[in-house]
Amino acid sequence: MGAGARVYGGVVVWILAMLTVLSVVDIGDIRPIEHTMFFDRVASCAQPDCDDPVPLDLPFSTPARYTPGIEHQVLQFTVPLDEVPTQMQAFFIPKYNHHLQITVNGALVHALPHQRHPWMAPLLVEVSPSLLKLGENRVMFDLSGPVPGQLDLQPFHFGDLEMLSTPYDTRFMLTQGLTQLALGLMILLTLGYFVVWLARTKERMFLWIALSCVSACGFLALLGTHVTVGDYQISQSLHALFVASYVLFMLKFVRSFLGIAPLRSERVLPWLICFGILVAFLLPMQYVYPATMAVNLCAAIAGLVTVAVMWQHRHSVPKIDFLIFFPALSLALALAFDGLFLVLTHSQARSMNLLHLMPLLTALVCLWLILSQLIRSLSAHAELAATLHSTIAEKSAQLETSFNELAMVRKTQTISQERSRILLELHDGVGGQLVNTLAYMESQSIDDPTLRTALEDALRDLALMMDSIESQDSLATLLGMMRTRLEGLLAKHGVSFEWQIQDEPLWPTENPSDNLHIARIVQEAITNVIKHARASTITVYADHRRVAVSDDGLGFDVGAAQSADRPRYGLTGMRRRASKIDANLSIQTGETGTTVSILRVET
Amino acid sequence: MMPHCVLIIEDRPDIAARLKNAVAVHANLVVGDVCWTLDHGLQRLFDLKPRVVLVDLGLPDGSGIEAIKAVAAADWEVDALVISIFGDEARVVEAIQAGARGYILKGGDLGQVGDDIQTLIDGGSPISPAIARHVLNLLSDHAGIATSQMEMLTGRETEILRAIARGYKRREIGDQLGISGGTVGNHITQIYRKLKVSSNTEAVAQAAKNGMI
Repeated sequence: MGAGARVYGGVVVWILAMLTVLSVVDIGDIRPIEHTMFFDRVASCAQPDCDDPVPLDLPFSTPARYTPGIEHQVLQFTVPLDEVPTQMQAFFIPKYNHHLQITVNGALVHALPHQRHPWMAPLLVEVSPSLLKLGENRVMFDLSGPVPGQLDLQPFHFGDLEMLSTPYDTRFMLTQGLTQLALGLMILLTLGYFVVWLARTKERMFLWIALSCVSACGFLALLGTHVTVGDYQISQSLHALFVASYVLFMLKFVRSFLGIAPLRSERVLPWLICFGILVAFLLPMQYVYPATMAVNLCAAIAGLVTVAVMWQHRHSVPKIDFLIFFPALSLALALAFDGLFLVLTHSQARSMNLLHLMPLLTALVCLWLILSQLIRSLSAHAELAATLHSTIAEKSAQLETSFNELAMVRKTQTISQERSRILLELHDGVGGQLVNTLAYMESQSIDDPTLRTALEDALRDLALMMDSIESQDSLATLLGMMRTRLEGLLAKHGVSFEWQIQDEPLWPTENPSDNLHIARIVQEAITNVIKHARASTITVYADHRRVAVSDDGLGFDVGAAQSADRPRYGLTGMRRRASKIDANLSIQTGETGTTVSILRVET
Repeated sequence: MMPHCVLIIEDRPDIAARLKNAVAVHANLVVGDVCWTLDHGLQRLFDLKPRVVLVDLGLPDGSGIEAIKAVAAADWEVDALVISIFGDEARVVEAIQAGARGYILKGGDLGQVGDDIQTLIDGGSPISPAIARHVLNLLSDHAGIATSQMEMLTGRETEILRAIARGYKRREIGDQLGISGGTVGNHITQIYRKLKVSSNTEAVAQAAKNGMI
């Protein structure tokens, strides 16, 4: 509660500061205009013929009067002229109430209007030079007004029409012009907000702002037009009602905009306002004024609550919005208080009521607030769309990759299944047949070494073939399997392996069949050693760029081995395989042995 | 010392006869029976309670894997060996995972078979480079699944597998690592034991092979 009280105290001080600024600036202050006459003292006449005038200082005003009939106040003064002017002359009366009839030297220059005089509009009355004479010109002002009287007149000017028309235009623009501008704007905004609300009925803030605009239209119409709505009682009640509901709807708008729950004051104040209006409407005329003042006080409280709520939730709106909206809202409230103060005190200290600026100001900043929110949500939307777009692109890419991977997996799977099938066929089919034949020879005691060797060779070859299909991914394993297969054969020939295979990846390649070529070359080299070299040791060496088979045997004539008419040792095949995998095959042979090397060509 | 009883389950008569002869000549081994079908083999397994079972995978009435599983579940000390033509990874690993202790080659020189069986009884397990490579792939490619399904191999075991995959013999590996060839063999037996620990390993291996994981 302490914090709340501090906030309200702060808001009151803040509004008072603004009020002080307003009264110091005093927009519409009436001052003498150069080259024209300035009247701030006239004479008041008791009778129309004005036999016994009483001096009267301007501005002056009469108290409220609730007896039926028209109240008249006749004022008289003289305009002294040194020479008769040739140009059109004029009276510029910045502010008066309610009606004014002007006679100059007995001639009527401004009659009582048929229409109601707009509250704040200034008056410019032309006076023809022909009506004027040298010396003193007698001017009569007949100021009149219906209930509740409250006639008033501010200091005024007389002079060349040309001189006075510009100040008149300026004052007209500031009062009547701005009021009508605000009214037009409010009508447009009312329509606009209602359309928006109909499209988004869930967003109540548009309803509240539309209703506040309707209320503003109401009191601006009363302020700024010649239309008369009923008598004093009706128009006064309506005015109070419009202002109060305007402030109340504004509070509801700000509250919904900030997204907070309805406040207690929102529930209480409408009842108080309605009660006040009912009193003003039903009770005798003299109670209208206090009742409408009470209603205005409720509106003032609602205004204070609005500004305080805005301050309390300043962090839930973007800083720039707050910096624009909060001072504007405060200033609007200050303008309303200023108007209330002038009415409440009957003060003529300041000639221009600025109440009509309040809705103009709030309407503009509310529009800003809504537009800024719209822009923000639009850019958020665009950002979201961009994020979505990039996410979709990313996911699509991922999906594509997965699809490709899946396709690869399926392909690999198919290949693997097919390979397994072939291996099984070889194993159980050809392999089985060979084994069975060997077993048959054994059981029948058929001892044919050539046949037996041939069968064993075929079986070994089949095994190597199957290994190469199975282990082609790894050259080291391929060579290892080859060792396993050939070791028995080597033992028979009294040869042993010296094994020098480095760790994986032995032969970096993207193509597994490269490994097969290398294995075949190695196999061929080993076979050559067994068949021809009469060696005791075969060294198989492999690192990541060189595979070599060397022996300690006899060596051979490379040239003769490669000659076309006597192809031996399969050297041609070895070279062909080496060139297929972009490797160099080198053979070094001598009396102490032979080395066959496969060198990877660095790219 | 009582000779060890060996049961042979092999449907090809010639092969069976060769195996029988090869085993019979070994002083420490005696052939309990030769069965030609899985059904008969399973029956004789429980009758004879042999120390070693040699089993072919492709039997007329079923897969030899069934016999290997029965051996693995038996309540006496008995080891199964797969009779393979080539000792190839594709046929043998499945059997090892079912509980086989290794394989013997029916295509090779059968004079070795008796000694191979003796080695097995003494705690050794045969392994080829292709099988070692396959086990390594199983561990590295699909480590997440493999570790949850099977006990992790130790660094030394992995080291030995790598050397075997490159074609090195136990003695050579022992020399390189400064241990005996027998110790290397013990490590290999341990690897076999770990391979068959999980009944799901087979499924994992199959999945890995098919490229599904």
